[in-house]
Amino acid sequence: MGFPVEFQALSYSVAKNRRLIDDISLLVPAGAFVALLGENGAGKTTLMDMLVGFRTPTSGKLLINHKEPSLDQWEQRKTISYLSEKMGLPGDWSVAEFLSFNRFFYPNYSMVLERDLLDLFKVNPSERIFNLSAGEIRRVQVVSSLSINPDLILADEITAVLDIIGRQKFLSFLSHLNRTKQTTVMLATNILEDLINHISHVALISKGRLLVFTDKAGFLMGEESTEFSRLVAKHLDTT
Amino acid sequence: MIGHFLKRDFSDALVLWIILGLLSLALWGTYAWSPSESILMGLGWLYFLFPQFCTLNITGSIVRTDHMISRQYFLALPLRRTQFFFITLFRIMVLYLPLCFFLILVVPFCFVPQKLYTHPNWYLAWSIYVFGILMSVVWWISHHLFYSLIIEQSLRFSNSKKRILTTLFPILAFVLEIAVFFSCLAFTLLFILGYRPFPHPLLVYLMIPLCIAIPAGITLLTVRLAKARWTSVS
Repeated sequence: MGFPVEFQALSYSVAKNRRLIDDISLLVPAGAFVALLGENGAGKTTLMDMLVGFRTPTSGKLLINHKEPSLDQWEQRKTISYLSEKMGLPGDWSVAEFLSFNRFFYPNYSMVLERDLLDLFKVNPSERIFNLSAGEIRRVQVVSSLSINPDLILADEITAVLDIIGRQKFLSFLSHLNRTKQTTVMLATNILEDLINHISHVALISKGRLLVFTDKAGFLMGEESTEFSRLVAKHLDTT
Repeated sequence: MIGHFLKRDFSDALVLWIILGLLSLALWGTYAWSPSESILMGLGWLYFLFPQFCTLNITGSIVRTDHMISRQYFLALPLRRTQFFFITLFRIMVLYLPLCFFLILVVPFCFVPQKLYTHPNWYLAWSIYVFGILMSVVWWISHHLFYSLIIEQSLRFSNSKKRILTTLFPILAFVLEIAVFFSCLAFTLLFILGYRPFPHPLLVYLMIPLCIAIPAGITLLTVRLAKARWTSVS
């Protein structure tokens, strides 16, 4: 069962007058698949950093399964997959060495799932990470992160460097986990293509503020969709 | 847990450990054949430079590249962040072990005049010396971790004056700390060996505990600052 995620008047500032996250309140139900959309610099990555507990909220509260990630919920992280382009992997290790190093930390790690994901994403375990392209490195990260049997998946702009097939496979697999295991998914992205087939909710943020949070039905309804499309068109660079 | 990391570190730096071993053998062999202080100096430099080469494998890249394991990866692991920091500190300390052994066992017996060992307080002086070496290694590593992250933070500032000040302040603090740190230890060592700078005994009884407490305090403070920086991204 996935984790619920709750934002209560959440704010985060880096300087006196520089608010990166501004008073966001929303409740992501357990088992939801949320697409977090927003223009570059909207605050998606800051929000993700706070969800992993890298940053402490300046005010308000952030709760994952009723616990504050900023208080170093290390046991909870056993079932949280964090995927980010910021996570560099060691170039002088082989993929197999990295996977072996990584799986040590996760008690629910599934070797069967790892093997399936290696096949699905066509990752060669004997290859040195140094020889892989940026997209292939992200595929390795996807394999290592999703094999832990997660209750919550936090994916920060990970699909930007994946090719079309890799992206489709990734989204389908997230969808599969979301449907079969009720895994909560929060996917920060700027690429809207195909997204609607997989998600259950959409959150749009701009300049650190939450503009819209709606479920898929609301999103697909004419009026909401028009409003939303207008906002997306206004705030996303990719449209 | 720590074994899992150390096994990986040893494997990552295997070539450098082999080179270190071979160079050590060659230099110790030369020293045995023809003893000379310059060979010992060379060994000291070798043991000091070795961890500088290997530390990046442990700390990851501060200025990010695609081929360095990043701090974000480690911080997202299901591992207490405080524990992760001390594991990191210990892993780097392992690289300083050759230097520590050299400073603790070789320097006092090969560089210091032998007549010193007839001094009745010799063991006490040596204990303080070992304490000083261990404290300075922990302080040096923590400072290194802290300063790297300060540099990373300073890159974010658009104001160049603020950027320069942020970079310079830890350097000035470093110079001040090093002066206080080693003055305290030197004073304590000299006092144990008979040097009496203060006429009043009360001052001495006040100074000696202070001279041990100050380096320990500086080290603990630096460790605390490094831990706070190392375990968060903001």
